[in-house]
Amino acid sequence: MSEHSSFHGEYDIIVVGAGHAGCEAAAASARMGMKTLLLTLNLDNLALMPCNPSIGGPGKGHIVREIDALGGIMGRAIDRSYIQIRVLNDSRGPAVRALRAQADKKKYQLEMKKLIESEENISIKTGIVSKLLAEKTSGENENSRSCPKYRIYGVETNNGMRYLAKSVILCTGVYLRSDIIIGEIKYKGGPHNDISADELSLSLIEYGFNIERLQTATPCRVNRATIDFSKFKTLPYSSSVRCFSFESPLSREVQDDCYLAFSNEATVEIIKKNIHRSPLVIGNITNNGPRYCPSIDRKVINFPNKANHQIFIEPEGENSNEMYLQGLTTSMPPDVQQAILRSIPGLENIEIMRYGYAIEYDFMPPDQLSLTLETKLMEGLFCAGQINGTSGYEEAAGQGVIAGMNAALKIKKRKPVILSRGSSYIGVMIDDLVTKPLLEPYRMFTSRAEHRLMLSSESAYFRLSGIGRRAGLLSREKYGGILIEKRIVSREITSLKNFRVNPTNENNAALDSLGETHLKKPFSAFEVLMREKVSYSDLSKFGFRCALKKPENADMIELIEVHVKYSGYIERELGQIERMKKIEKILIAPDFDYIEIKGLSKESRELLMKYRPHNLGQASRLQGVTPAEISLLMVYLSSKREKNKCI
Amino acid sequence: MYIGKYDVIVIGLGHAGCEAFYALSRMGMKTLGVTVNIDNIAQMSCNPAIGGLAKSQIVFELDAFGGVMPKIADMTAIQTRTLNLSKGPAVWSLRTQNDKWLYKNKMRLFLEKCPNAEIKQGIVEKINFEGGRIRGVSFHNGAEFECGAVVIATGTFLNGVIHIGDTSMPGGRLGDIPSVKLSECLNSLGFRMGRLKTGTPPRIDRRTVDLDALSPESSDAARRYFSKSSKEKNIKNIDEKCYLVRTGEKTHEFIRNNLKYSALYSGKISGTGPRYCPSIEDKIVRFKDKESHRLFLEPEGIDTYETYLQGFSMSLPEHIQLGALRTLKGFEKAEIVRPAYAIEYDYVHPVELFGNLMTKKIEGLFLAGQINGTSGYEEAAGQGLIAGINAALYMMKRPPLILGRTESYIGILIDDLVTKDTDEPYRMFTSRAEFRLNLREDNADVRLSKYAFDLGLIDSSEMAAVEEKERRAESFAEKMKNYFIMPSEEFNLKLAGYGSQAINSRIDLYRLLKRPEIKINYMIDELKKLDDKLDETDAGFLTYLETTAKYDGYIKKQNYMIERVKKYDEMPIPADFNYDAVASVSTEGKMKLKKHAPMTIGAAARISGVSMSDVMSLFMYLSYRDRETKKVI
Repeated sequence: MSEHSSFHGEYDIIVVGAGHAGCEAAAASARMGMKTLLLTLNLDNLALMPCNPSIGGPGKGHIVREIDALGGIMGRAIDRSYIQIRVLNDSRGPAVRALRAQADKKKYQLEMKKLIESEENISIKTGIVSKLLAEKTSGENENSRSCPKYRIYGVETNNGMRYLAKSVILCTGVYLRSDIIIGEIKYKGGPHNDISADELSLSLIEYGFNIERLQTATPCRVNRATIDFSKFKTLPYSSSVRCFSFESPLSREVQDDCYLAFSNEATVEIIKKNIHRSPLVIGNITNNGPRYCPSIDRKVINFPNKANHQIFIEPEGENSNEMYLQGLTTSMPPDVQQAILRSIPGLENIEIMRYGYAIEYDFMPPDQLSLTLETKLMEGLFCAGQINGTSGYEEAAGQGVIAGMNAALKIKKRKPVILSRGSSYIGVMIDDLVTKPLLEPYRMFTSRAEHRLMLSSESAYFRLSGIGRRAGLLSREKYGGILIEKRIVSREITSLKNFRVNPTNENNAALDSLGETHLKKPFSAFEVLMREKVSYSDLSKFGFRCALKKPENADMIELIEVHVKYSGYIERELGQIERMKKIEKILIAPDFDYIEIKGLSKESRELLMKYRPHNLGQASRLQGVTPAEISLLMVYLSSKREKNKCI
Repeated sequence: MYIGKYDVIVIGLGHAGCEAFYALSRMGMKTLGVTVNIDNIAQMSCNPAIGGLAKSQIVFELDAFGGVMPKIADMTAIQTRTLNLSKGPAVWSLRTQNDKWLYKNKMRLFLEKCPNAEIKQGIVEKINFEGGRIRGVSFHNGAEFECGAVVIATGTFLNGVIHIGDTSMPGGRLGDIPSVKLSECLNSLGFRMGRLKTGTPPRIDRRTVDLDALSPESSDAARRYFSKSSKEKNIKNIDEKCYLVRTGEKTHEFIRNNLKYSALYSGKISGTGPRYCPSIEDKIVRFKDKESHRLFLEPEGIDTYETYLQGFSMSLPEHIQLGALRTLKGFEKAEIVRPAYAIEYDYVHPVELFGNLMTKKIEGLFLAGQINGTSGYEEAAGQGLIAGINAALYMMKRPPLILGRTESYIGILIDDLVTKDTDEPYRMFTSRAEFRLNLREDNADVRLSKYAFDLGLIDSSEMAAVEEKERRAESFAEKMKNYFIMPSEEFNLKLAGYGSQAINSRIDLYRLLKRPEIKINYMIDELKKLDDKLDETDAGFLTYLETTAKYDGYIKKQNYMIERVKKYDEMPIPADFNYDAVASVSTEGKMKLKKHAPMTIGAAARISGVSMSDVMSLFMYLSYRDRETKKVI
């Protein structure tokens, strides 16, 4: 650190990688007043969507809303660039209902680049980070393996540029020492023949980080002009729904259609005949691929008797003839890919524009992170996105916003943002990452959230905007708008409670028409709405004057209905969340000496020392640590709480 | 295993590949275009501009063939200027600043909609043969496709290596992987190959530049287009500013002091660089006495603050680039968004080619663009068009299309390449043309549409329109010659207003128009009397009419000169001849002539870098001197 004169720029925060995590991290950092440097190996690929041309879906769509509630930018970028929006799971209840948008890939990149360039505090530079610059921490606690050993102070690029920073956020996606695999061919490179970043992994390893390999894959892209669409079903879409961002107008009309196709026996035959040419069988690829997003070869291996696999045909944008074939991921050789496609009626003459491939890359198993997304080993180094073993644009962006916020808060010497599992999908995701072993790329599902009824997409603003505002990320205007909605909702709930529905003939006739039983005594409108078949708008039949009528109000109506109909569950969940909050308030110092505690099993002790949970709540979720051991820890910690340091 | 069959496969979809792809598709060939990354089709790797001196003429020639570059350039222009505007329409050169992002996306969409044609992402590693004929190509990922002919247009990707100071890495462009195996394949086929180098300047964050310290440049008042088809398209006029920047001693000293770190001067780069677009290191070393060099800060698009610093290409380490940049006035706090770099790549010596751009060694193999040693988007596109056309003609077993030097810049470009070879990146200049006055923007269609129509690249209505233009101009000329203006005080006063001499006797309109200072716009009223259907907003036609009138005498004289030069091919040049005595020979020409010391005029004409106008100057000087000598004797 002696040669500061030889640095070529000084920043508060450096973000390495300008994909979905990096853009979000840089934007958060900049909006919180940090002088930010965003480094990318190819500026033309900022916010590139190298796989599916869509954003959202169950779990993922929730994350995008949460990012927006915190003050992030993904929602705005997609709202300016989608070609259609769909509400998924409409019939399956409010908790799992989710928005999903088909993106114009190029437009999305452009809109994101405009958003990033409009941030005064962000400098963008082209550069491949080859080395992290860190110094040893001043050896207080030499014996403990728990306190950070290093403190980061900058990065060096392959061109010899050296930049100083107080914090660095790694958002390297799949680019770390990546290999492309197609059949038996394997070569170095990133998505779409981009270059890979090869030196940074070595630097991480040198500091003592554990680096492992993951793989993922993408289907082929085909020429729209060679598809016979008459053979496929057009998928529905939704118009006039609220978009991802609080600031956006209601959704536009659709600009392009998506289609549903199915594979058949001939398809499966071709795959079976050529299965020896699949990298899965050849074995030139790690097994750590996403099980929930299996390649078609994997599907045939696992379910040899199933022939009709779903294939979604999705446009890649208005400026392209390319179509994406969701469900047909494969890294089989090109001739097999072509044969597979041409076995499907409607695709007999298909021309492939980009062949599917698998990509294998370095990641840093996230047990090396704390809940703030800072590494435990190196102070000031944060990681977000695929480097943490996740998959998906939204998951990456969700981590990006948190890493950006926490890196900034740390510099401001303020308390970090740690989202609890009861507060958000992002909280669930980060807690899962740093607490549970990761064997495959992590993707968000609604089923991962135990309190999903509390985490509906509509409620994201009420759950998180306060946190975003306090951190200084969410703008005052937007927060003001959210508060107004919040007040409207609570006022309307009060009105419902105060409005009396009497057992009159008219009211009972209205209930008949809704298929509900008659009233025998007066009830509040709130209680009437609790009935399954009664919707908020139906209440006007009972004389209640609904304050919310416009399509723009759909989210608020939704919130009211969920609040009323599920009030019993919600109270119970709130109770659970409160209890969890209590034990999550019991922090465990990073250098806590588990050996001191008698009564822990050897396995649990090892687990606790490996993960170094941030609080007792996180400790309770470690797989293998028993409730009795948690109680033991609680007793012990409560008695020595003042000893918490290094926080 | 071949999984598809095409007539022609185009390898590389840069500016050359795009034109080849378009021409092939339009000529009914089943065409496959292969690119390393579909997202980077028609990427403008260097300057964000199309056209300029001599280059614009190529773009107009492309339009005569219905080519794509003129259309896309018009659609994506964010500043439009005509260079030489004050010098008369014969030497006008249109130049547009273009939005790079839009340019590549519009081009991609255009190509994707071409009939009979497919685009695939892939890296071609091998050309396969059977019985001495091309059978197909093999991709890096194992895909193989059959074809009858191949057009290679790989740009700087062929075995590309990027240099920034002492850092080198394989790359076809910053951030893209190169194509290495194809170069090995060409080598093994016995082609004479060489190494060239080019460079690109840093891209700057415009927000960090004090623009008030620089002089801005805007679009011309009247919008012009490269393509005739653009006029009807209602293209929005956008005017993004460029800025003139000047280097000074501070910058020169800084760079001189750091020369040892330059990849160029440390001996790391073996390839020859472009003489006409030298790096800033080169400029400072070669022109020691020059106190200042001009740079231009040009926008890279409307949606970005990235700007291009024309004239500041270098291969110094990035931190020295930053230091050098910050010595410029207004750039004290500037930040680099993308560093400058030099790139070295393989090329095939173009003497390996016939005039139709097919290789002499391998039938059905065509090369276009930087692989032939040229530089520039427009030069690449011109070759791409010709290679595409000739690959189609080859497949149809029809005679090749070879454009003459007298009828097009594209013809000159290719003729120069295949007859003179090149050992440095070749760029087009008007001085390379002996028939400069005939090779104008306004008559490109008249010169070339007949070929385009024969090939099926333009339809009969487009052809008819060109013929009509030509016929109308001729009939106008006749009518003008018979329309006399009598001397009068009033008229002479008018002439004086134009800075033109008074007349004493009657003058016909045609002769009047021949006067350099008289513009056709001055006589619109009279012309309308000759033909009431004349549309005064039809600038294309009026310009054509004007230049034809003004230059027909010169053009005849030029033709005569060329004939004479040809006859005197064997005219000897004394061994001790002092080339410096011939003022009108270009600096480059003198250097090359001194180096090669040709024995005859013919030999001089065949040296790369010696232009036809150099040869003409030399010829005139020698014949004049001989005559003088004879007289003395």
